[in-house]
Amino acid sequence: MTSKRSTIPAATPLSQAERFGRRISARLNAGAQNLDHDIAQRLRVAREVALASLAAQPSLVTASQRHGAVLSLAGPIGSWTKLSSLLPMVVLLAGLFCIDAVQDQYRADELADVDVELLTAELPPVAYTDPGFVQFLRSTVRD
Amino acid sequence: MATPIEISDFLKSVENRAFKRSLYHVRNEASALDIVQDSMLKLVEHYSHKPASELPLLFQKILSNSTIDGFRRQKTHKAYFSNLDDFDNAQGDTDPDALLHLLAADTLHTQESSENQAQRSQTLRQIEQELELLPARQREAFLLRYWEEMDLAETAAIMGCSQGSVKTHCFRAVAALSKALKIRGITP
Repeated sequence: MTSKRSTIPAATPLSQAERFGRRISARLNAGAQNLDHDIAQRLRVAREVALASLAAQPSLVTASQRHGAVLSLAGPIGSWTKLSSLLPMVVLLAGLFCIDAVQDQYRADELADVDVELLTAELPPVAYTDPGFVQFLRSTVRD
Repeated sequence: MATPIEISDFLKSVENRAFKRSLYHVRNEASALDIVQDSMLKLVEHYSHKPASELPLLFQKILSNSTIDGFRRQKTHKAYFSNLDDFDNAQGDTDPDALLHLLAADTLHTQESSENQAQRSQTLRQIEQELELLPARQREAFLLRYWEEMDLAETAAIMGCSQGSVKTHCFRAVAALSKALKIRGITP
């Protein structure tokens, strides 16, 4: 089986295989050095893209190494950084208060408008509580 | 941790061979380029914090896995869309008369000439064709052991098999290549 598999003589097969492999590799190396210009350029671009992605990483990697398994922002956190991180929360709360106040104002205005309409109308407000007015509304709806 | 310069130098040193190695498997330049770029990105994204000495093994492993994935995808694709033109081209390139002529010229001319260059590139092409005809595992073992100069343990780690299997793959690859090249009249 072994003799059928190989054309290399039985004596020191590994060293001969080794030498054969090296000779083939030398040929392949020569071929790999003379790639088409287009291919070489595209490989260069691929390498640069990979290195660009490396440039985007270092702060995260440094932080992960500094703080162990917990990822955090790189560098010491100053008081201004802490204050500025609270700013969005303050803005959000102020916004919610403003919205609540405006909504209350709208509701009060609507009620005031109804009151004004009632008080300035020719019909006195007591007329609306009269049973005859209810009857009038029913008959109007039926017609 | 490898510095960006070390990573850049490493990628520069392996990119050509990586492309060719991938090309021997997938036999398509665009796919081989994609595989190399993908492997470079994976190495940088996941292993840039590793020491520079570990990069070759990691890169070869990533490249092997990506290449095998690409090769499988291509095989599946070809199963649906077989291209008979590839067949015709492969047969046309193995003209024994042309090869004999080139080999005769090899012994006559020792000076570097354009004819000599053409001849050497033709011989290289013949070797590459035989390499492409090897079973994928044999080709992978052969290229890692002899071209990338990995030792048995490293090759086994990259290929995910035992050292004994690597030896067997390499031995069979050498035997098949040497036999095929002898038939073609090529002495590497």
